[in-house]
Amino acid sequence: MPDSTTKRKKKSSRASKHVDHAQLLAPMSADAQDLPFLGHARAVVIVCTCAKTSPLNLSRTIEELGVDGLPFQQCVFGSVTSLKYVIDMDDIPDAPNTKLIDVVDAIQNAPKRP
Amino acid sequence: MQRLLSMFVLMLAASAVAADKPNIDKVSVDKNERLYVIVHFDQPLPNVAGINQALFWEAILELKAGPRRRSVVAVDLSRFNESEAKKAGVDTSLVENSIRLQLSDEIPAEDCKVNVILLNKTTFLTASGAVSAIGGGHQKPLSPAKNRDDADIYFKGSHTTVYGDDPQWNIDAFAGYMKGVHTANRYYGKIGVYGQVQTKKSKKADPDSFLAYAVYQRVLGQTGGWLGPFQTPYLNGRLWGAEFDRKSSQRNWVTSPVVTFPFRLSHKLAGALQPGVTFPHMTVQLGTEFVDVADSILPAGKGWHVRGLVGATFSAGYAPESPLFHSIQFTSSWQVRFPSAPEIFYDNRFAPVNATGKKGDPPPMLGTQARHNLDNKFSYMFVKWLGVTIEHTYGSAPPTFNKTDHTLEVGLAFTLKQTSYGRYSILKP
Repeated sequence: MPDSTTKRKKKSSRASKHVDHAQLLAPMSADAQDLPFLGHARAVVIVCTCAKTSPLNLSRTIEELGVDGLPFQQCVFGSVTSLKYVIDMDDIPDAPNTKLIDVVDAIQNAPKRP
Repeated sequence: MQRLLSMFVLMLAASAVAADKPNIDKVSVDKNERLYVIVHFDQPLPNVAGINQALFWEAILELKAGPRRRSVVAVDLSRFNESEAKKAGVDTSLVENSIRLQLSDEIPAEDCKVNVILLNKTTFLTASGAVSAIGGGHQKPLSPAKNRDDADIYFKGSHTTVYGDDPQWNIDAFAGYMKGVHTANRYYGKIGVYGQVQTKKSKKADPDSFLAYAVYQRVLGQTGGWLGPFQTPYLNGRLWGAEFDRKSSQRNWVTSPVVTFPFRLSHKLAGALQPGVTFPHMTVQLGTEFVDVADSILPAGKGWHVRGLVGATFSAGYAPESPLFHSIQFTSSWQVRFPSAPEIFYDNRFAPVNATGKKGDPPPMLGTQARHNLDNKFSYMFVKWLGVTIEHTYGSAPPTFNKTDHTLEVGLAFTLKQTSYGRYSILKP
């Protein structure tokens, strides 16, 4: 049986590993990386974070991954715009049969906000 | 019969052979690096030896000026699989089953189509992708649907003229559309409308029943992320709704804010999910429906009242795509409504019985009892296009709450299709 000190240590170690959404996106912003388009690598990070899965599942659909399309679409939109790139929300596919790689393709060429 | 059976076996064999071929599921271009084409593979991944040489690949660009050939001068495999990532010194968490083809010249900054050709000793494959000049996917707002289940806008109508008799009208139509409302950096939600009209064998082109809603949806957060297995909840509000049923002269006005809590039955999916698995997913709905019964066959049931609403949905599936076992899928939805004042319902238990012992139509009644509505659907597909569906339904739904006792429906299915989240969220609850 782990004692309370071990439990606390485990808890604090988990807390130190946790990276929230804003922290994750900060080094990827348009200011940090001065690129005219969002780019493939950042698109993959955003899509996989919003579906809470690994890039190995880019070929799986939103439905297969047990992801609800509405919050997923909002997450992708919020992430792209917070990095100062422009995209129309309705350009982000969120149907159950949408593959994650289709979402990557839809957002990777989002232009930088003027 | 024997011929049919042999055709069936041949089709199964053909699908098994097709499954062995490498599967390119996306060809794209990152416009920051227009010298590269990104090729993404689905399972089963091809052998590295069959894709790692530049001479196996060729790229054809479809430009405004005409088709142009680009030679592939190098293949970057560093994100193809773990072993290639290790060789290239790339973090293995970045592996995404894609390769990058370096072209001899940059792709011009214009709308174009990129075609890639893979040709080695055992494989010949072509795949293509579009590159948009203005960034973003630029989905078309509307595209053709395959059938009624697939459609967000649907109309089917017929008019039958009978010599010496009245004409007959049949109309089955619905339309739903949602539009995101936002600025470049601020999100306000989505607004949309949904309408449905049905008429069966009517002498006039009047509707037997219709539904019409104006809907507002909003994810309750700017980032829409996760907390453990829970995704950000969202508000699904019918700003204004009208429900009409001609048989019972029922006409309701409805306003209903409902909050949906979606969650996945797993904290995270860190590894690769096997193709064909639909991970179990649930939603829980809590809300209130404010109803004004404007017209009813039972005048005592008129006026404003409130319905408490609790609901849940569940979906899971598995598609091994093996012979005679293509896929199974289970979906379930349940809602219960608690009316605050007596509301109309029809229950077959109270139907009058005539002298021959046959039950007639149930009479309209008023009550405040809870109104359950359950729909379970199980599909077993032998092959992609043929299978069996079993559907269990129970309960009643507004506006008339015509109660169906436990009903089991077994049918033959030729396709398996689930409605989109967008339309589903407008329709139910």
